Amino acid sequence: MQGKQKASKVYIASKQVLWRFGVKSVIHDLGIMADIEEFTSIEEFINSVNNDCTHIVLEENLFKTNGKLMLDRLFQVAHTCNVLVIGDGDYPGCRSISSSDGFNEVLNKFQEFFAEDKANGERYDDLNKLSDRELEVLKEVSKGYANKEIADRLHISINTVITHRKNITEKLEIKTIAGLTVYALINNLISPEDSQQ
Amino acid sequence: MNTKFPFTPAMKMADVIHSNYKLIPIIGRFGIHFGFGNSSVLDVCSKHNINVGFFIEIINSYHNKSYFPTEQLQHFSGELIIDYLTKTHTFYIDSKIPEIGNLIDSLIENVDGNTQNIVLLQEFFNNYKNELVSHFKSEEEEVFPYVGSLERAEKLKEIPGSLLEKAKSDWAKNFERDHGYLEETLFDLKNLIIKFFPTHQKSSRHCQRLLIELFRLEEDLENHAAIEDKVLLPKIESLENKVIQLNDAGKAKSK
Repeated sequence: MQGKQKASKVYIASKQVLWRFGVKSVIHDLGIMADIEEFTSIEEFINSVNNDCTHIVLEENLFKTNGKLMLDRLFQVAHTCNVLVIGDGDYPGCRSISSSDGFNEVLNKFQEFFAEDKANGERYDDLNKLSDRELEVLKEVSKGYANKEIADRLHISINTVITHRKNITEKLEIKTIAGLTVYALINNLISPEDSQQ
Repeated sequence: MNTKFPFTPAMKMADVIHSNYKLIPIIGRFGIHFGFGNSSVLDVCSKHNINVGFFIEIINSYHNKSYFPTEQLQHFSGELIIDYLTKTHTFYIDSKIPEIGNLIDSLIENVDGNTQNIVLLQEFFNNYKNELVSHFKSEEEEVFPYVGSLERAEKLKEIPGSLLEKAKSDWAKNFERDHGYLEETLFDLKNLIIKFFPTHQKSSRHCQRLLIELFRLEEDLENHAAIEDKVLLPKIESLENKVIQLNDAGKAKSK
């Protein structure tokens, strides 16, 4: 679906369809935007995992025989992923849900799990502030300048402009130029006369 | 995720609405009026001369996004699909969009102090409205009649040269490319209000109503766009292929 906030890329691995369904239901009911892929064996899972994936939910039984080894391999391939293991074992670097957790604890743990972005080492809240350079680019976009013009005016390369614009859109979750202009006006980054250009 | 069971023709029409009030405008689009007592969906549809199979697929696709009966919907005639889509356009232009416009007006009247920010929203919404209306208009004036021409050509086995040329081009696909941009614009509008719009006590109530209506419009438009992208476009494609094949077969015969 277009126009929505950025979805987390979630891999769910378990043999049991009911188990995977349960995890999907929780994610869905918590209103987490997730792009989910399912796996039924650890081999299939390890082969597919990569750094695009942001969150992994694993059933402990799936890697019980060679657990630690598998997790080490997993972190090698996808070191920026957040991992949640469902099971009673202790797995360093992973969050876990144990059989003694009640319904509310499970919900809380899921919420905390998805609020974290390991790749950036920060909570989402702090990530959404625009940098000074991004603010500069935002002002230029709102004044109606094209990428090439912005590059010339700020003495940066056109690729840098494109990267800044991508980050601005991700942070503010505003995609259209018209929307960015309204944002800039509301926040007094530009004056109404500027936007008429 | 599929957590909702699909409706069937044997269900009571009243139960359909009780289980999902968002279907109210859809039912209205089909020209069904309230007061249907305990009649089943089938009865109500026959009374109003509505193709019950089509009605069921439309309400189910709306009720549950993961239930999207692309194939079943393909079996219905282009005429039926276009009639529904045209009625949906009318609903947006005559009811939904003016309602939202009025809400923004009342927001301006009820703001404490500076109206500057709301005027920005209003301009943003008006631009969106103009783009939406011109998108609908070009579909109604160009795409929809094209489907009629294709169906007629197939039925009469007479294919005008200009139609054949169009059928061989990618002309129709370009029309639905606007959907992405229109959706992004509407999402931006919602998000600007939710995240960045300073409201005050007096205007907050109006803002809430406006947001709820924007969410409803978005949901409705998503379903509408899905029917155009997943049902109408494939329908056009299959008609185009049939017409091209008919023409080739005709040529082979005359040789």
